[in-house]
Amino acid sequence: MERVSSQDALKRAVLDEGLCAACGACVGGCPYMTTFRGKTVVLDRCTVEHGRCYRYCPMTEFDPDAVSALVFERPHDTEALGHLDRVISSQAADPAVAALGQGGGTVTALMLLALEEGIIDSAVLTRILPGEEYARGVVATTTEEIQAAAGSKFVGSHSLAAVRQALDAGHRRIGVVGLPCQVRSLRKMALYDLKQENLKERIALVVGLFCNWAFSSRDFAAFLAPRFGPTSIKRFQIPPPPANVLEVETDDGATRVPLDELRPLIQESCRTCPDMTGEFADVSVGMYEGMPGWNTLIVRTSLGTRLIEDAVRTGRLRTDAFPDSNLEHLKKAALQKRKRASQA
Amino acid sequence: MSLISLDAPGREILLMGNEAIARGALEAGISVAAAYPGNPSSEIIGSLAEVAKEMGLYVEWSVNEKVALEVAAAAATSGLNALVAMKQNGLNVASDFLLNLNMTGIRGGLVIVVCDDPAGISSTNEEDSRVFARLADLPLLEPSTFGEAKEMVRFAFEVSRAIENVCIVRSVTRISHARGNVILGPLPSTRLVPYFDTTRSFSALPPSITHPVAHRRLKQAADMLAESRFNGYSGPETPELLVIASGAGVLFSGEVIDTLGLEARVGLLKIGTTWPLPEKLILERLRTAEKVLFAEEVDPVLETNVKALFADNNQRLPRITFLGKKSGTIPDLGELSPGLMTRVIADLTGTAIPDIDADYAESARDALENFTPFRSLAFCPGCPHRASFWAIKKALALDGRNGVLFGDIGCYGLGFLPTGFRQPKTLHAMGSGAGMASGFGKLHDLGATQPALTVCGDSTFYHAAIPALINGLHHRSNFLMILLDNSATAMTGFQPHPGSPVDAMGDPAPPVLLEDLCAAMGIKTLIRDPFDLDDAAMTIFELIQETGTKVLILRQECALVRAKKTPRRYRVHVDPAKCIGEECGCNRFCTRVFRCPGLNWDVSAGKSVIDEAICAGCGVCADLCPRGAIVKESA
Ligand SMILES: Cc1cc2nc3c(=O)[nH]c(=O)nc-3n(C[C@H](O)[C@H](O)[C@H](O)COP(=O)(O)OP(=O)(O)OC[C@H]3O[C@@H](n4cnc5c(N)ncnc54)[C@H](O)[C@@H]3O)c2cc1C
Ligand code: SF4
Ligand code: SF4
Repeated sequence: MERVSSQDALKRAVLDEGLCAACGACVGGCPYMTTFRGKTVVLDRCTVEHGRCYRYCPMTEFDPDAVSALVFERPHDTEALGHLDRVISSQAADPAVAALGQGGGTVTALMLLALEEGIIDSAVLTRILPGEEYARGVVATTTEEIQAAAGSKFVGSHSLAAVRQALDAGHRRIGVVGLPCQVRSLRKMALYDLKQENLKERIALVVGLFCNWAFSSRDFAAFLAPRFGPTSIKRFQIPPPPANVLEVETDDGATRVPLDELRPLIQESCRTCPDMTGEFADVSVGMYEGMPGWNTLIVRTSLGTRLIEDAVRTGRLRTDAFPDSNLEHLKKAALQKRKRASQA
Repeated sequence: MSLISLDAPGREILLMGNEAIARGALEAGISVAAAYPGNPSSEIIGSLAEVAKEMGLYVEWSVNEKVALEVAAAAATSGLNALVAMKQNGLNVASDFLLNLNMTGIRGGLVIVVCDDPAGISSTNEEDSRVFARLADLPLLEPSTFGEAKEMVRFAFEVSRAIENVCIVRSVTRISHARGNVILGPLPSTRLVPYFDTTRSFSALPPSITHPVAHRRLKQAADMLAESRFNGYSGPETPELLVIASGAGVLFSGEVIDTLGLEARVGLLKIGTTWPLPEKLILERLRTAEKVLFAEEVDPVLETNVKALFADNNQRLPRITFLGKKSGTIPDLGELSPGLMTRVIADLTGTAIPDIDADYAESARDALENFTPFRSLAFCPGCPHRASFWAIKKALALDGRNGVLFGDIGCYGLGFLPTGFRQPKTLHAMGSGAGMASGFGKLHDLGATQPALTVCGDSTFYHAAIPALINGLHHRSNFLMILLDNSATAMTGFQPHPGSPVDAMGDPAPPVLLEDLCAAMGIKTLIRDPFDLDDAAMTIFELIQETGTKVLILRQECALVRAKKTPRRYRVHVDPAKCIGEECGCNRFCTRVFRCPGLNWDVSAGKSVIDEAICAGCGVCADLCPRGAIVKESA
């Protein structure tokens, strides 16, 4: 029988098919593969048969029931938003944090609290480091580092490579903020834990971001470079429909780029991705359409519930109800993404 | 100290075949010797260079074989004796000049020693250069022993002077590189003074006049060779089997006849003058032959020519069965061996092969297994080529357009093996990588999307790649030429080349620098250190994003040259606490992929380990370990 190396399988099923979501799970600590200007690159052929790259990749086989059993202790909930405890709206109570945040700064506030309370000892976040052009994963262990990572970078950033960095550094309770694809990968890591690294415990908190698509970071950088100085960009905003634009904030003010111009830069993988809300996270956070400065917050696990309760109790987070009409709209959007994926 | 200049006629000394050839040239009174190094011929000019001063010779490592022959021809048209040595591929390079020089002839003596490499032990091909003799209407001799090699070279000069044309001597690896006893002859006491007689002209034009002259000279050579003592017959008057052999075939056949006790049944016709054939002698033997076996290496040259001779004379000859390469009795490629000849001759004569003494067989097998460790064909520890190919591999992977690396001739020719990460995709002749890259770089106009690159050694660059680079530049071809500058002709034994500050005789020489040449052509030229892997890789990456013809010089001394001059750069060791061995999940990346012989996998410890005895201390592997477990400390 032909023996297939994991890397060959990954290459065939994902990379060569253009389906890589640039999550970064396969490249962390691997000398055979690397990331280069936003792409996952195979440098050398690896012959390991049961390797982590293929197993942890979110774009290879995913068993929602097994993951649900692990995370929620129940079979997979096929409802539009996945298994959940409740959906609310929220914002960081600290105005400084709220101002840093993409929406209401909920994610940043939660990570700060988790670190402070010892729920996590480190956070894997996504940042564009000073002087760099590409977003990447970082291991944050201080308030300043967590705050510096606030704000959405609308690209696949390989940030899960930093999970390996955090593990190698000996961190025992790692919190990760990730896109839905990355959440899936993180749960696969815990489920298969191929090197028995106790990943179920060590990946201690998973915060998912809502996501409809992400740009290829190489294509996006190439698009931005001639239009904006490479390091002058401060932040991106996608105002709610029907605006259909990407707002690029620079030192000289905001520029609006029509989304239609940017669609060709979307990662191929995103067209096959069925998950809009990070269905397997502890909590998932998205924008609150029509409520600037607020987030939509889905609480899914008991850990998530505890974290939110603590956040409210300690005055970190302000929460409110999430109206039914908005919930219906959110579900519709999530189902639309699933449909898109099933037709891809 | 070279023994080849020993002035002791009659003394028997041990010489390497190539030294014996050089000694023969000294005894013939040569004044000039030139060559481009190429195994198995390199020691001929190498040993002459050592005694050049003492013997009053001019010896040079020429830029290529054609120029070497031209340099020698200048001496030979000026009345001197000159020797040129080359490997079989070299004769191809020199052949353009040779096939015109043969038409004009010379005025002194000019001998080309071409060392063939049956089985391609150190070559990309195993071409049989004997066919050139016929093509060029020039005489060719084939020695079968070391002593004969010396004598034949001396005789070749006699022939050359007599016919006023070139004479070729064909050696092979097993003669050139083995050692044997040679009886020294006298060295000449007088020196010829070069003088180009301007009342004579040496113009190949018009062939209608020069070609008949060449034929006449060959005929004159045939008469000399026919009487030569290098041909001879031993055996019964009417043998059951007549073996016609040349070169190593003579030795092996004679040995087999002897060990099988077939002296009364099998005859051996030794041919030392392969072209033109000693026809009278051969016809004499064919008259009493029934079955003829040819024993020669690589192509059926003797075989074809003897059969043609038979056809011309068939009315006066018996029916003969010819056996050789054509009949499949002898393989039509590779080397002959005593074992092969034993099987063939035993089979043809119905003789039993005597058993090898069991004890001897076992001790031989033991010796082979215990004293010759298995080694794969690989770059030396600390070889800069390994680092260069690593950087190229990385740059091509990052680029992702499936770039094509055209290979070339030199140590780095091994790059197509795992030791060079299988990066070069072609390997042909000196300078051909550049020519092919120049061609591929034009295919972008026709829709090709893959970047074109070529690697070329410093010596190869001077030899044959410069015209290709100029071609690419002039035609605005898109390719990157990577010059692997290890400052030596490493593959053949560190001979100096035009970039070196000394010449073959050890005199200071103005180096012609790669970067100066490229700059003079107006080519964008960068210089990097291949040991700085990431820098080298990123430079290659950036260069292949640009259009046009570009040169990158990856400069780092050959590990063997460096080891002779300077202590190790780094002391390297593996920190066993950091090396996570099998747990790494990296599948022993360092030893499996990088494969430096200095870095091994310790099976019992399940970790990698530096072999301090052979680690060259380049420190490159320390930059590769994902765990930082390989530690380099400045030595
Ligand atoms: C590619 C992408 C697409 C998105 N699409 C939608 C959408 O369609 N609908 C919607 O409601 N919301 C979407 N979001 C989420 C939204 O932009 C906010 O991130 C989310 O509402 C949280 O807001 P916040 O104020 O709490 O975030 P903040 O407090 O600013 O925290 C943001 C966190 O996100 C992390 N992060 C930033 N960029 C990335 C990245 N590229 N990959 C992984 N992590 C990252 C940072 O590390 C930071 O911790 C998207 C986000 C991204 C990155
Ligand atoms: S999706 Fe993630 S794990 Fe899969 S190939 Fe891409 S970077 Fe690697
Ligand atoms: S759409 Fe899916 S695959 Fe694409 S970035 Fe978002 S979560 Fe990842």
